[in-house]
Amino acid sequence: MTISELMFPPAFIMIMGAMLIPVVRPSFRPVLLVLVPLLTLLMIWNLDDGVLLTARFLGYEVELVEASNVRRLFATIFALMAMVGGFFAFQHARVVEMSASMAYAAGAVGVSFAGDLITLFLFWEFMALFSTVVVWCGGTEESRRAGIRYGIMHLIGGIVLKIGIEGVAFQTGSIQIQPLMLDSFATWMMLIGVLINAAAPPVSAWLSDAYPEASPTGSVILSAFTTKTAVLALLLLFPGQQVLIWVGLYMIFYGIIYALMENDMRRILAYSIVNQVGFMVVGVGIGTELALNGVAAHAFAHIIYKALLLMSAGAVIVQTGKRKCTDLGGLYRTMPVTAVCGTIGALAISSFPYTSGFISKSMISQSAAYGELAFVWYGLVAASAGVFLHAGIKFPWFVFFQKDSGLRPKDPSWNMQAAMIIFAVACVLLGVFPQLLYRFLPYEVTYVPYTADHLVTQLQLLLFAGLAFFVTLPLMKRTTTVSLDIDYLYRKVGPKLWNSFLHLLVVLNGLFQTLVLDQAKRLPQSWVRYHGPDGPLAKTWPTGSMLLWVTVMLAVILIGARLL
Amino acid sequence: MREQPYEEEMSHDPLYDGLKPTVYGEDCPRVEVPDLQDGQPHWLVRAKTIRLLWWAFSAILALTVAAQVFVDVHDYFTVDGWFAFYAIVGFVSCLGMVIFAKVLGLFLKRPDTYYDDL
Repeated sequence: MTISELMFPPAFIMIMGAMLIPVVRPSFRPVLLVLVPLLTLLMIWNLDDGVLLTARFLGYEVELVEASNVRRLFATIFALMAMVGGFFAFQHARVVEMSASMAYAAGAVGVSFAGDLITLFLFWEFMALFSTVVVWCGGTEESRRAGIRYGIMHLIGGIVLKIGIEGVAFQTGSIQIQPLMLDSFATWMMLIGVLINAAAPPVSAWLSDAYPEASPTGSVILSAFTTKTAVLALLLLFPGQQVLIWVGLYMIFYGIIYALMENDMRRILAYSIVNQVGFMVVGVGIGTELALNGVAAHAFAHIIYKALLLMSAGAVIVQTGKRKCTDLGGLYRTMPVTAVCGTIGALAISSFPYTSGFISKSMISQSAAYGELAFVWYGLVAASAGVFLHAGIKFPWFVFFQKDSGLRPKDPSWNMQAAMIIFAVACVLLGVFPQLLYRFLPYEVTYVPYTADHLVTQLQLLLFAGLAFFVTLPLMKRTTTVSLDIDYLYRKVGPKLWNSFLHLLVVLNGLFQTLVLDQAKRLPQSWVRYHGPDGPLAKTWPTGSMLLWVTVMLAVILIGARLL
Repeated sequence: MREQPYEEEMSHDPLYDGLKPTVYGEDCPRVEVPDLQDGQPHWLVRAKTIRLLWWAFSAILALTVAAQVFVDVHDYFTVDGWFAFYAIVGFVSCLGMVIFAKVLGLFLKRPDTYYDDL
């Protein structure tokens, strides 16, 4: 496709689709949900590299579509996710949710091809808007509140990003998307704005707060787009920024520790999103070709297995209505398809050999080894074991195995099973044939994942992590608890402070009443009391009192004159 | 602080009508006596199977370590070339993380109704 042929960005196909979904007849919706992303994919794969579509906006030449191999890779997985996620959802999701999910995915595709910061920002906010709607589609009081918190967090993130973009545009006169130096207030603001969407500290809590409150189908969609577009933005704007290594390492361990404390199965998976995005952020921070390849590959693989895990969790919720590990267990008996698919997803997230995680995550830790970043490398290795611990075993163990909950749900509807099987197959396929993914990475891949020593060391690491899990099982007894996080500040302390502030206002108002208003009221009253019609000073006629005073004055003058 | 229940308050809102919470799993079958299927435990949870699984698991663990005799593990930081380095790291760091999470939980865990009253 040449420049003159390109009339609109690929995202517009999905925006049109999102608008069509509510108006077509219900039986046609699943067709749309699959067909629209398919058309988008077709367009994505026919785009040549380079700037393909420009327009004038606010006096700037904006580049609505700029293609490159890494942008195409991210757009591909976003469209693919919209397709399989939509197919998974169509029997249970509300129309609003289906439409909003499609628009949300359109925003992600739009960000992927945004050639300049203004276009990026517009699609960025588009995503914030529709993802909030997807959270609200949970339909419960909790999801209403969580959606409001989520929306506020992303609007704040958007404002911070916009301040940065305007600063960069003002200082350099360029709105190009290119690697930036962290040498000014504006670029720092941009970095912070992007990192908020990546669920970086200190605001990681928005993710585990909002995603698990969406519907069983909505949280599948939510898991894919926001954090991964942030990873793409980091990859394009801030590759090799050292600070990202430390931010990422914190996210990795934050995710593991909080997931270990958690009881809600979808919240366990939400924490593990933060953990996985942490690996990608570290990779962007390392910034070598191998690391950036690893980031792109890991984002691609992660979207698939994380969606698969959330699909299996969603299937369990749809069939049982339960979401806490303390209520679940032993479901493998009657939900074999879900249990097998969920376990494959769990193995993939743990980078088990012959799954997609093995061929992607190892590129990032390998790049730390080549870069001689001993501390970072050790952190990544320990964390890989930790992933197996908190997501790889903990999730399937407490949901599908462990003690029998007595629940005997059936596997979910055929479309849910099909979506799970498609992604489970994809996890294994990418793991067995890494070249399927490697040939689309931003740089040429020389990395070979399957060597004897890599296999042996990875198996040692993971299986002994598994041993640690079963040895410490008594310590992991589930408790019906939530864990405090930074959201404590705006969910408890904030409202409490606000209430105290209101109380203070009430007290101040009372004081003002008694000290000022009542006094002010009393003043005219005292005038009335002394000088009013019944006051002591008004009892006699003024003429009489004047005569008295004249007499007194006369007497004073007479006596005075006499004395002088 | 809310005077009327959420449902009632929102029932006049046309948008909300399409967003009523869906109740899942109401008809989910349940057995009275867990663990039993057709009168006896599922084969996977019988004591015999579990004992067998532990033996198999231990054997595999031993194999992965023993494999290092035959496979030359490339080292980048000296220590990672040591025998069974990854096994030790995997076990010890997981143990550390579980204990750390347990201790942190003492300070950070709250009943899961903690945020409900606001």
